[in-house]
Amino acid sequence: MTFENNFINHSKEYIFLDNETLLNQREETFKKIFQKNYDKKNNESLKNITITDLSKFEYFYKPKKEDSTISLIDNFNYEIRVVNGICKNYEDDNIEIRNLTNLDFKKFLNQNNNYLDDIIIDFNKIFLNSGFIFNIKSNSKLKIRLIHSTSDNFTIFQNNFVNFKKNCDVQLEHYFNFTHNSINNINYNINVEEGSVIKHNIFENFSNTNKLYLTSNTVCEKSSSYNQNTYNFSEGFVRNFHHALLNGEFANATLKGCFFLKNKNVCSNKTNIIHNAEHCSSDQTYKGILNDHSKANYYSNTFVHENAQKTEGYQLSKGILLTDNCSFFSKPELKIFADDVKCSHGSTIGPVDESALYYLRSRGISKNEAMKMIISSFIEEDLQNLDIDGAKIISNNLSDYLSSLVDD
Amino acid sequence: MDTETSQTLDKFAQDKYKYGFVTNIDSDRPKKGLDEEIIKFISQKKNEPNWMLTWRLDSYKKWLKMSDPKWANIQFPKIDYQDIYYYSAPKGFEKKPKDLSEVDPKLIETYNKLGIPLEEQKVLAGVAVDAVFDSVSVATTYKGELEKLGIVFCSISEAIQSHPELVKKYLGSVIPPGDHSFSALNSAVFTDGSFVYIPENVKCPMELSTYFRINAEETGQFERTLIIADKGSYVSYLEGCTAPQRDTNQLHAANVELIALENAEIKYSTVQNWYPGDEDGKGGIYNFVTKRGLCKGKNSKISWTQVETGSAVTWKYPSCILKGDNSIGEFYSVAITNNFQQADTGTKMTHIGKNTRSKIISKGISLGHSQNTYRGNVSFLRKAHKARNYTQCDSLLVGNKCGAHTIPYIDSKNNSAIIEHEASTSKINEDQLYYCRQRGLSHEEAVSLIVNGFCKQVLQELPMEFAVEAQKLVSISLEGSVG
Amino acid sequence: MIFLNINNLNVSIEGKKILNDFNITINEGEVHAIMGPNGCGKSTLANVLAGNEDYEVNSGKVIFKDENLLDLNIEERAQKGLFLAFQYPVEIPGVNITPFLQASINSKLKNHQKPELDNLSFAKLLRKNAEELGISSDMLKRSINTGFSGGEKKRYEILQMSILNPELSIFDETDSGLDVDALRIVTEGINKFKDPKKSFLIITHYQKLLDYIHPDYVHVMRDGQIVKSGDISLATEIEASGYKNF
Ligand SMILES: Nc1ncnc2c1ncn2[C@@H]1O[C@H](COP(=O)(O)OP(=O)(O)OP(=O)(O)O)[C@@H](O)[C@H]1O
Ligand SMILES: [Mg+2]
Repeated sequence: MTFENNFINHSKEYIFLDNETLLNQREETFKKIFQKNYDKKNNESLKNITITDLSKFEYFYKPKKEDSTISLIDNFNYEIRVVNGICKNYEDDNIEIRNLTNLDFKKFLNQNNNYLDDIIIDFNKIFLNSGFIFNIKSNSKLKIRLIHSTSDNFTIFQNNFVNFKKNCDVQLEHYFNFTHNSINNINYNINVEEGSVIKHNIFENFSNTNKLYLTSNTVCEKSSSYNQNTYNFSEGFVRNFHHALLNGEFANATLKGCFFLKNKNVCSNKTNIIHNAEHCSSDQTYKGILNDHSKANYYSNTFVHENAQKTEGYQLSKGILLTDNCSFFSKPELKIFADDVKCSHGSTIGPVDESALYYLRSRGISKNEAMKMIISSFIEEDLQNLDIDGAKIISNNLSDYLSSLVDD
Repeated sequence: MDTETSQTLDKFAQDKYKYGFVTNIDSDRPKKGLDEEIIKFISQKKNEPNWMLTWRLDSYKKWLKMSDPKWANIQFPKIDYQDIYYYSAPKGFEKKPKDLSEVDPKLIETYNKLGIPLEEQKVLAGVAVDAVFDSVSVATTYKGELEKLGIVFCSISEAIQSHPELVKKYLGSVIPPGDHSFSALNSAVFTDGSFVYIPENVKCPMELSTYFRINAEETGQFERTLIIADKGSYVSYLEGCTAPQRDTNQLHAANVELIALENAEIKYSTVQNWYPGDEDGKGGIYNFVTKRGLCKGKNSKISWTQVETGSAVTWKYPSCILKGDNSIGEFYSVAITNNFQQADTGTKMTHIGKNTRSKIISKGISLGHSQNTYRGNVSFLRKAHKARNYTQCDSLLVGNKCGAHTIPYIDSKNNSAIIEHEASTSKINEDQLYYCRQRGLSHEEAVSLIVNGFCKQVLQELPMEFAVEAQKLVSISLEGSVG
Repeated sequence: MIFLNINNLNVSIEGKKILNDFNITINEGEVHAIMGPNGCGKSTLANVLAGNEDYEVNSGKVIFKDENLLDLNIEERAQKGLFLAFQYPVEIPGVNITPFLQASINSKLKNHQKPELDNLSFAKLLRKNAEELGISSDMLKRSINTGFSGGEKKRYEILQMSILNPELSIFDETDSGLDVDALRIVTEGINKFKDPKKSFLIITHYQKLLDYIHPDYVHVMRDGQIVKSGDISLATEIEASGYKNF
C-alpha cells in the first residue's frame, strides 16, 4: 500500500479527528513527507532506513479493549499489559492510567519534540492511532512492569505521556515483545518532577518480522534523576532515539544502551541531552556487538546552554565488530555554550581485544568460550542497575546470542 | 568568575592585529565579477596553454551548477561572487621578475615588515620562501640550491609552463574540481600558488615555505598548491598568511593537493594569521580552504600541522586519503578563536589500504564571542585490514560568551580495524592558575602559559624555526595589548 | 618590622566557617610547626595566606612585612616573598618547569628592581639546585607535576622554593608521601636554606620531620584555632596519644 493510500483510506481510524489544529498539522506533515520536502542527506532519523521502507506498509489497526490487563502483584508492584497499543483505564492510590481522549489534544500540541527533525515522529503524527496517559502520584515508591505486545499484523502509531509527580521512586521495567508482522512506532513523553528518582529499563526482544521505532522525550525537573537503560536483543529492526532535557538544577539524566546484532539486522540509536540548568550531570553510553552482516549507528549529543554552568556531561560509544561484513557508525557531538563545564566523550570501535583473547586461551580456555567471556564482560557494568529478574533475562538473552556465534 | 579573571579576559578579547597595514602599490586589476571572460583574462595573463584554459572553463561550468556547502557550523552573509576582483597583481608583474632588483622596493619592504626578508643576504636560514602577493608570486628564495638536487620549487604558473606533464597528471587528482563549490571555484580562477616536486629518494634539505599576503581590497585570493613527493623522498613545507585590516570581508578559497608516492613523506605546516576582523566582528577574511593529501604509494606518510588564529570565518579540513598499504596520515591542529571569529575546522581520514594508520590531535580554544567547532571524519573502508586511528580533541573555553563544539563522524566497515576517540571540553583550570600565580606569575602570564601547555602536543610538531613563532602567536592571540 | 602577624582571622568557604579567631605571630628567622587533626583548617590557613580566592575572609587582619597581606593578590604576595608548598600540587600538562620558573623568579626580581636572570644563568641555577635535591635532569624535561609520583611532586615544590628564595615558606604536609631518603634530602634542603632572615610555617602530621628540622615552636590546631603552643615535646605527645587531650 502506498503512503498516500494509507493516509486517505484509514483517516477515520486516527485519533483527535475533531480537532482542527491537529488535523491541519497532520495534513502539513503529510505534505512535507509526500513532497519530499526535508533534508534527505544529513537526516539522522533516516540513517540506515529509507523513506520507501517507511512508507510502504499495510495499515491495520483494529484492537480490542479487553486484551489489556493491569494486575497488582503486591501493593507496590504492578504489571501492565499494553496489547496492540491499547491500555486499560485504571486508577488507585498510586497510579492513574487512561487512554487519550479528544480533550488531550492540548497536551499533544505542547509536546516538546517539535524541534526535532525526525521523520519517524512525523509518521507518528500522521498515523497516530493510540496512546495513553499514565500518572504516577507524588511520593510513590513503586515497581512497574510495562509490557507492549501485539497479536496480529498491527501497525501501531502511539503517543504516550508518563508523569512522575514529585518525589517518586519508581523502577519501570519496560518490555517489547511483538509477534506476527507488526510495526510499532511508539513515542513516550516522560516528565520527571522535582525530587523523583526513576530507573527505566527497556528490554527489546522480538523476531525479525517486527519493527520497533521507540522514541522518548524526557524532561527532568529540579533534583530529579532519570536513569534509562535499553537492552536490545531483537532480531527485528529497532530504532532507539532518546532525548532528555535537564530543566532544573541538580538534575541528572542517564541514557544508556546496549545492542546485540546478528544476520542482516540493523539498529539505529540516538541519544541527546540538553542542559538547561546549573549543576546538572548527564551520561550517554551505548555499546554494541555486531555479527554477520549487521549494521548499526549511534548518534549522541550533549548540548549545554549558556546558563547551564557547572555542567558535567559524559558520553561513550563502544562497538565490537565480529566479522568483516558488519559496520558501525558513530557521531558523538558536544555543543557547548557555557564555560564552567566538564564534558567529555570517548568512542572505540574494533574487534574483540586480541590480547585478552590470547591471555584467556593461554589459560586453557577455548577460543569460543573466551570470546563469550570477553563479550559478557563488555556489558558487565551495564547490568548493575537491574534487579534479579532483569539480570536473569539479560543473561538468558546473552547466552542465546552468544550460542549463535559460530565456532571456528 | 572573579572580577580579575574577567578583566584579564576583557584585555585578551581586545587583541589587536599586528599585520593590518596596507601596502600602497599600484595594481593591475580587471573588472569585478566572474564570467568566462575573466577566466580567459587570467589564463591569458599567465600565458597558459590551451588545456589549462579548458580545464578552468570546465570547472567554471561545474561551479555554476553548485551551491556552497551548508553543513558547517558557521554563519556569514551570502557571498556575492560578482562583487569580487578575481585578479590583482602589483604593476610590473607581467613577467615574474628575474631577481629582486626588478621588484618594487615597497613589496620587499612589506615582506620585511612581516618578518619575511627576501633579499639574499637576509633570507631565513634553512628556509626557502615563495612569496605570494595577492594573485602573483613575487619571489622565490634559494631556488638555485634546490635545483641542484632536482627539486622543483616555483609558482604554479611557472610550473604550468616548465613542467606541464606533472601538472597535467596531478592537478585535480586529489581534489577533483567538482568536489564542492569552493574547489570548483578555485579550479576555475586560481591565480597563483606554489608547486613542489621532490624527485625519487631526495630528502629536501630545507623547509620550503610560501607566504601569502592579501593586500588589494575586495580581492579574492584563490591560490593553488600542488606538492608531489616521488618515491622515497621527503619534504617539509610551511605556509604562512596575513592580510591588511579592512572593514569589508575578503574571500580566500585555496586548494592544496599533496601526493606522496611509495615511501615518501610530506609534512605540511600552516600558521594561519589572516586578519580576523575587529572586536565587533567587522571585516576579516573568509577562509574556505580545501586541503587534501593522497598517500598513494605503500608506506607513504602525510602529516598536517596547523595553527589557526586568524580569519573571520574558517572552513577548513586538511584531509588524508590513505590508499597505499601501511600509509600514515596525521593531523595536528590548534585553533584559537576570539571576538566574533567562527572556525569550523578538523580533518578527514579515509582508510582504504591495509595497515593504514592515522592520528588526530586537535586543540580548540574559544574566547570572546567566538564559536569554535571541531569536525572530523574517520572512516575505515572494507579493505582497511588492521587499520588504526587515534583521535584526541580537547576544547578550552575562556569566558562565558563563546562556544566550543565537537562533531566527529566515525565509521567502521572493517572488523580488524581499531578506532579510538577521546574528547573533552572544559574551562581553564582554576587550580593551575592559582598554582602559577602563587609562584609569582601574573594572571595573564599564567593563562598564556597554561594555554601554550595545552597546545604543546601540536606546537612541537612544527618545524623548529616556526615553533617559537607559533608559540608567540598563541600568546598574542590571547594577550592583546600586552605584547 | 612586623614579619607575620595574624590577628583574629575568621575564614569560611561556601558559607562554612573554618578558621575561628585564629592568631599567630611569626618573627624573622623563626620556624613554626602546626599540627592538628584532619579537617581542622590547616590547609585553609595556608591557602588564605597565599591568597586563594575560593576562601572568604570574614574578619581579621594579617600583616606581612609591615603590609596588609589581605590587600594583595596572589602573585603580589608571591613576589613579596611568600611561598606555599602545596599539599596537592596541581599537574600542568605541556608546561615545562624551565620557562615557568624562570618567569616566576624574574617577576620577583623585576618587582624588587633587580636585574633578571638570562636563560643560561637560570638553567645553571636550576640544574645545580635540582642535583642537590636528587631530581634527575629527565624530570626537569617533563611537564610540571604531570605524571609525577606523590613524593616527586613534593621534591619539585622544594626545588621551586630553593630557586625563588622566599622569606616565608609554608609547607603543607610536604613530608607526606616522601620515602626515607627523600625525607632526609628534603629536610637537608630546608635546613641548608634556613637563615636568620627566613621563616617557616610547617604543617605536618608527623614528629619525624620536626626531629630533622627542629622548630622553635609547635602549635596544636583544632576547629580552626590554635589550642596549645609549646616546643617539640608537644609533637612527641601527639605522636604517642593523638589529639584527644587537646
Ligand atoms: N571547597 C570546599 N568546600 C567545602 N568545604 C571545604 C572546602 N575546602 C575545604 N573544606 C572543608 O574545610 C575544612 C578544613 O579543610 P582543610 O583542608 O583546611 O583541613 P586540613 O586541616 O588541611 O586537613 P588535612 O589534615 O586532612 O589536610 C574541612 O572540613 C574541609 O572539608
Ligand atoms: Mg590539609
